[in-house]
Amino acid sequence: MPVSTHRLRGILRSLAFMASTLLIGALLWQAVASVVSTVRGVDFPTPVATLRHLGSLLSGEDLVDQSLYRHIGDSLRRWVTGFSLAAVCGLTFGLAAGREGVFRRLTLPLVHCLQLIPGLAWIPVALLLFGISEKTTVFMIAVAAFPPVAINVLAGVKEVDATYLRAARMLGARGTTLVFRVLLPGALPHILSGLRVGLGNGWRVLLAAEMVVGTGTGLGYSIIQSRWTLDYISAFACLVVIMLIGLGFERVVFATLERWTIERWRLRDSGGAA
Amino acid sequence: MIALEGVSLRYPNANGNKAPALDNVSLVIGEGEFVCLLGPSGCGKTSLLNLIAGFIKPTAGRVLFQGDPVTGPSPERSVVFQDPTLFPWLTVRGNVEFGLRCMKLPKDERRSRIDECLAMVGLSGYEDAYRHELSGGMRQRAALARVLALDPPALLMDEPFSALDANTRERLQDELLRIWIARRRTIAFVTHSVEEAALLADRVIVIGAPPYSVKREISIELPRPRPRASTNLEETMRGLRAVLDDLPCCLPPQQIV
Repeated sequence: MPVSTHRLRGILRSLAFMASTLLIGALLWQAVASVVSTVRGVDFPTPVATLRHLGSLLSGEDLVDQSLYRHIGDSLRRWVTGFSLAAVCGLTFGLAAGREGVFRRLTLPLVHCLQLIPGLAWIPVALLLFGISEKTTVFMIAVAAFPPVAINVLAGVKEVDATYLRAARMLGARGTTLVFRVLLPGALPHILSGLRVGLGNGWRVLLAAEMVVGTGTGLGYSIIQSRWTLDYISAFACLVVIMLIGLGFERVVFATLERWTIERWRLRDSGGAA
Repeated sequence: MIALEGVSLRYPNANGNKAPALDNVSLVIGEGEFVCLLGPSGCGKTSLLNLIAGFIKPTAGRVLFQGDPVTGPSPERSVVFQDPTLFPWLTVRGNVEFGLRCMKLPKDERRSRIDECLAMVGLSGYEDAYRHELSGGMRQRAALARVLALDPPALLMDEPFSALDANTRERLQDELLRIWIARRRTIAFVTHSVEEAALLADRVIVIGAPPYSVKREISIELPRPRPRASTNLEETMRGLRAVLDDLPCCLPPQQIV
């Protein structure tokens, strides 16, 4: 089937908007860099210089004794491990609490308490539990990502229309069939937004944890080390990488998941695609 | 087939008292019989259907199906709701297949049953459509196909056509009758429409309030098909209307648990 010109025009327009937004950001950054350089007399990396440096890092130049790819890979691995842990626990908790009122009343306040603790405040706890190791950062990511997932899954499960459950039961569904074929898809809009918030929380905590715990590798560790060695331009390059990774997950992974599910099934009442 | 013996249902209301939703209802629906439960809204006819479906339990009395007490919902007593309640995350095929998968039928058999039932309700060609791509009438057809596929001994229908436009409603009534004549399953059909009851039913059970219970049972002996404009049908409707006029209407809604 040929791509309709209407659709093509839509894609071109959103690309144009995206490019313009990037340009505005770059110009603001450039302006700040120029002002800081003249007023304070320090070398504030400009967008062009940062991108050029990022290019040489990407083509293999060492960053804090390791390749940039090693740092990115290690950060991503910790993030994915911690987040997966949080996602599994959060989904299990949300489904169980949605089905069992007593369990919910006993445990939900604890989850709310967890949510009140900022991610970085877990550092002493994490250090006592795991010392200085991979597990420390993974634990901190998991504990920061768990509450939003758990609370949103629970809200989603409780909001699943009771008539869907009645319909499923009269069609013969029991136990796990009800959970996986009715509750999960019915709660999907909430589940996805919970995962999205959890992923963001985890990412922020990861970088902060890497800075403080001193993991030896990772983007957060690189930023703080670059700072000690006054290699500010490397720190800026890391910031750009961090932003790009976050943007990738938000715009590519979650947007695609939503297009495949919520939008295709019209689970939300919306006037149309934005 | 379906028997209610001295069934009462009470919902706790705001003052903590238990308001009777149904009071000492006894009735029998025979095998292959088409029975309409007729009454003003708020009279408890939907509660009655929910009791037979096993969604709720009576406060007193017994609900029996084929001689055994009803303990919960089952595909043997399939329900078509007023709102079609199709699962929006499944296509028409997926919705019809849902119950067949719960029955653990092999794939070939599922496929042939789906095709057969969709053809029966006139939805062939819409297998891959999602709920939002269907009109109200098509959704209710799909909901009907979803339960017909299970070949249930009893079909419970809760005002299934009341939210449709007049023409669609008449078409679906005719098709339901055609399917019922071909298969002869027991049907309990809740309606507030005198015309619908007169057109469809072998027997009309009038529920009224208060106290909420069976007020009258009226057998309709008219042969089928029953033309909508015929004098016989209008005579029957007049009779039903007279029964309803003796009952209070515009009751407050009952709390649904």
